[in-house]
Amino acid sequence: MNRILWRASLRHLLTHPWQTGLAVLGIALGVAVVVSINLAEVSAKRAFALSIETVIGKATHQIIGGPSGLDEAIYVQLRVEEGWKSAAPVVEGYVYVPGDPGRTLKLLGVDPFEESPFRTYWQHFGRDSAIDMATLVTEPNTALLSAITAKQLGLKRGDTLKLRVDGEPYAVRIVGLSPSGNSKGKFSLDDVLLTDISTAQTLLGMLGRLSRVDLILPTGQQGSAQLERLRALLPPAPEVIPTGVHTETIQQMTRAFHTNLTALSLLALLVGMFLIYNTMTFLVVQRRELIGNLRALGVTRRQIFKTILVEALSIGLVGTLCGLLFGMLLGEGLLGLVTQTINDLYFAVTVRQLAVPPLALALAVLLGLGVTALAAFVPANEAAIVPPRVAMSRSLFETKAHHWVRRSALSGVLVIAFATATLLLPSNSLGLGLIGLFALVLGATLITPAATVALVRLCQPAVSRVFGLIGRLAARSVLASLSRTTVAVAALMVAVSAVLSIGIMIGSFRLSVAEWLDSVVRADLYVSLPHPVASPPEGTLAPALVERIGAAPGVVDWSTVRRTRIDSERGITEIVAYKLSPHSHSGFRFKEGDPSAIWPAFEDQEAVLISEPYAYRHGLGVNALVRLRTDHGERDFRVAGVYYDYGSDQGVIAMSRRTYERNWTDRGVSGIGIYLDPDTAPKEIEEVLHRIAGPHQEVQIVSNRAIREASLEVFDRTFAITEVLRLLAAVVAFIGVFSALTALELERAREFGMLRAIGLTPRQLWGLIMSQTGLMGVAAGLLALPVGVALAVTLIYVINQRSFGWTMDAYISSGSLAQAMLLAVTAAVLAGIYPAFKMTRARPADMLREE
Amino acid sequence: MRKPAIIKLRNLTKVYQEGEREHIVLREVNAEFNEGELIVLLGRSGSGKSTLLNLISGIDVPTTGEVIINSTPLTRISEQARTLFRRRHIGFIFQFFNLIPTLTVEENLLLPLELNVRNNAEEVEKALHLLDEIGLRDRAGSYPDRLSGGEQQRVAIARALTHDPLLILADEPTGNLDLETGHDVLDLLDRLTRQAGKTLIMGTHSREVVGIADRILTIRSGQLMEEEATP
Repeated sequence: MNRILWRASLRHLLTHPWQTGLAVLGIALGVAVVVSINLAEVSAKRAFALSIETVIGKATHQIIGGPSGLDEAIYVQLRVEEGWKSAAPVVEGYVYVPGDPGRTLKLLGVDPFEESPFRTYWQHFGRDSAIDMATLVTEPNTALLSAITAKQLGLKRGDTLKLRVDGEPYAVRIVGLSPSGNSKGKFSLDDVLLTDISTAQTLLGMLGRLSRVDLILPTGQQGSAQLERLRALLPPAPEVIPTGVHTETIQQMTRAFHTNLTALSLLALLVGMFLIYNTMTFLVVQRRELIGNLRALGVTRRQIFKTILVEALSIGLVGTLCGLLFGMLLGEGLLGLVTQTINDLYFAVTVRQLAVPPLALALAVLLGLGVTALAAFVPANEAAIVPPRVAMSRSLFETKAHHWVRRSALSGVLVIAFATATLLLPSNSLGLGLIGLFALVLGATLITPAATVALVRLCQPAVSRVFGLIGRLAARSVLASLSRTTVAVAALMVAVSAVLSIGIMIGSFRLSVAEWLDSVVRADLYVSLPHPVASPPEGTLAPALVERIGAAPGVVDWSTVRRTRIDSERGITEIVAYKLSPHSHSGFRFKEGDPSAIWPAFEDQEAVLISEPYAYRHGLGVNALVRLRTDHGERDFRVAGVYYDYGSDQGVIAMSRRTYERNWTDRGVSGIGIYLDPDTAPKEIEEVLHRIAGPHQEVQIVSNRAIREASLEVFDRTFAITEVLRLLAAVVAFIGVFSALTALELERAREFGMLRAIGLTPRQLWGLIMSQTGLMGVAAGLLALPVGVALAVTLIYVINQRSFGWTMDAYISSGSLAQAMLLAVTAAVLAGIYPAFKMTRARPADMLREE
Repeated sequence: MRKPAIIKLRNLTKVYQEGEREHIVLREVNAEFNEGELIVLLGRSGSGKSTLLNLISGIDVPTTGEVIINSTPLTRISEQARTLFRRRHIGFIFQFFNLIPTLTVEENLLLPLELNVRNNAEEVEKALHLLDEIGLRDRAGSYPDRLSGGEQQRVAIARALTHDPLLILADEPTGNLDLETGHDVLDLLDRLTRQAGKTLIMGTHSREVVGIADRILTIRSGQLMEEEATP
């Protein structure tokens, strides 16, 4: 590139520090949002992979049982009678630390003598004098804890750690502090309580049972042969599955969540892209005369194009680097929100630190520069191809912009038609849905200039009547500078419609969940083991307790629920077994199936109900067959109905207690829903129930209202990250609009100087600038309303459905529309304050001198 | 009989601060201008002509000294009052025309009337008559940058007269025009201001315009000196 041209370009950027700075900031924010989300996700995924690596290690296959695990005799038979080598028993579950409320540790019970080939961390223990391995094996109720976790819990070697498992108190002695992980990050023992098999069996109430048996099988034909032999040896119920299936299934659970987060962060970048486009367009438009002169002097189109592009990339590079730094800081903050959501919705994962893989950073640099180059291409090309005469004449330039408005509107209509067609395609593809969503945004953006012209023309008579000359001047200047004003309006429109649509989506979702909770949480009181109120009940209530609670005074009826998961080669299936009170039937709302036929089939014919997400994910409907692995081998269950359920996005299979007990040996109950005599006071009954439970187990008794409130709290927490991204998109948009309007108004300094010279008062000038920006805000707001609603409908009926399988009704309140309008106008008016302040304070003589 | 002075400049000094250095543009300038006079301010580029015109109009303030127009001490009143005074009593013509690019020729012309809330039918008709006078009636709907430089300056002259001001200030009105167009514009300016009986102060570096002047003042080294006007 020509050095003089580059120098001129650089000086222009330096003499317009506000504009340059805001462009850098816009790119930085856009990149930061993408980087932070990406790093938070990568960290969560890596932590998850690490915890899987820790508990699965080098095992290639696992023998798994039903809800109550495997009989340990199977392991003994394999190891002792069949001489099977490379097999390790595992008992695992979760235990609570009452001393640190909310803290859960993963209990991993293993056989130390079989561990070395399986789990890498074991090799580190032998050399470590801080671990008393002999005591771990020989003494009951002893455990190892990672040094970091022990420190967090205020424990040292030899101390006793108090635990609560299934509502009952236990204590283990810490006989060693293990390393948290090795330098290569191959394992992570944070929040893992390591015991031998018998201690784990005692703590988890699994005497004589194992969670699974890990196996290392060779690859190839030899492995297949061993697998065949193994399957022949095992009774029908246990299943041998490759370990990858399990990991993949769990990772699959969060895929839609991650995709949605990425899409949201890309939306923020898209708004940032507008900002870059805005800035570059202004930088080009401001210098149209200079560019015209340069072209007249013989500078080639290619040189002009390269100069503008290099200029943009320089801004992009600085912005991207700032964005990387800011993104890493922001990522630390978002990590907590991402982990919290994964913990609330999917599985427990502990993430201690933000992972910063170089590849993620390199991708962010490419993205930042790529987006900048893309956004700068149009203005750079425009600057290069425009004839020098046109470049030097503002009105010719604006006339060209007017022609472009028509072409842009036409393209917009075509893009929207494409988006609509894509969204209406009968497909379950989330990717296709997102393409449709972004095409919708692009189409609306292309239509914005024409719509702005139409709206301002429509408003012009009213504005003139109300604000007189100032109003007319303001409206006219919006129309006369279309090359600048419409870009600012489009950027604001996209941001406001994004904010509006996400708001409508969250509001509709919340309303649907609240309605669902009202219908499903019908009992007066719920009894379960202590667990987070909003989560489904976990653990097992003592059978004697269930009987006594049912017989308690004031209790007229009760339902029980058993929640469990069944692993199989097809993945993890969540099963809910209900003993339903007739009161409970009306709590189910069916999407498919006739309720009068559903309940007899459910209670008496071993038919099952599937939740809406399960039906969506597996493409099932009424009368379809679901194959499940029971304790007596695999069998098919007929689907009697599909019901609405917002409790799990993976979906659940519901069956009657009778069906469950016929097919599985587990007799546990996870929770009880109690219907009270209307004349009794729930508080008194609650106390009675606590007294009844006292000698058996510590239980949690909560009212239906508390469950509803806690569930909505979790809902709000789950969407906290979406709200943060929504806010960031709004901030990026505000900076974009601020930058665009500031540049637009400052560019008119000379014109304002002339108006001041011929008698426009500072107050009138203030009014003129604010009217112009306000008018642009009104235009952006009015356009954002239909676009925002269209995006919300897409999010609700396409993106949400394809991501999570839930359907819900769109709820659009006049309040949210008014808020969006207010946001657009406020952002635009705020953006006008600085130039108005600057212009009204400046001396007209100085303004007239400026160019 | 000589008309009374309507513009009085008393000890006007204007100093610009350039970093550490002070640059004195006008030094203790004193002058009086009468109603209906056509005054030419001569001086080289950077001599202070524009600064003096800015001070007279009140769009800039002197470092010391006073500007009194029609008994109004411009330097002692508020910015708001100065603006309103300027709006009512002063018409401007600039070297670079400075028409509002987003308004048509007609709208530019009517702008001072609208600012003064005098846009009644009679005043508007009078203003539009000026378009005939400058020969641009047929370009009333055009935007400024579709006009030639000479045409733009003719619109600027008409705009300066629309609201019937007391004083017209012209800063290098022909500085951006070719010789012939410049002459045409000067003739128009001379004719219209004399016809309306207005005071015109015109800053220029060109001696060619002195022929139309009633009085010629030269600015040199920040001082104002009067020359004999030659018929």
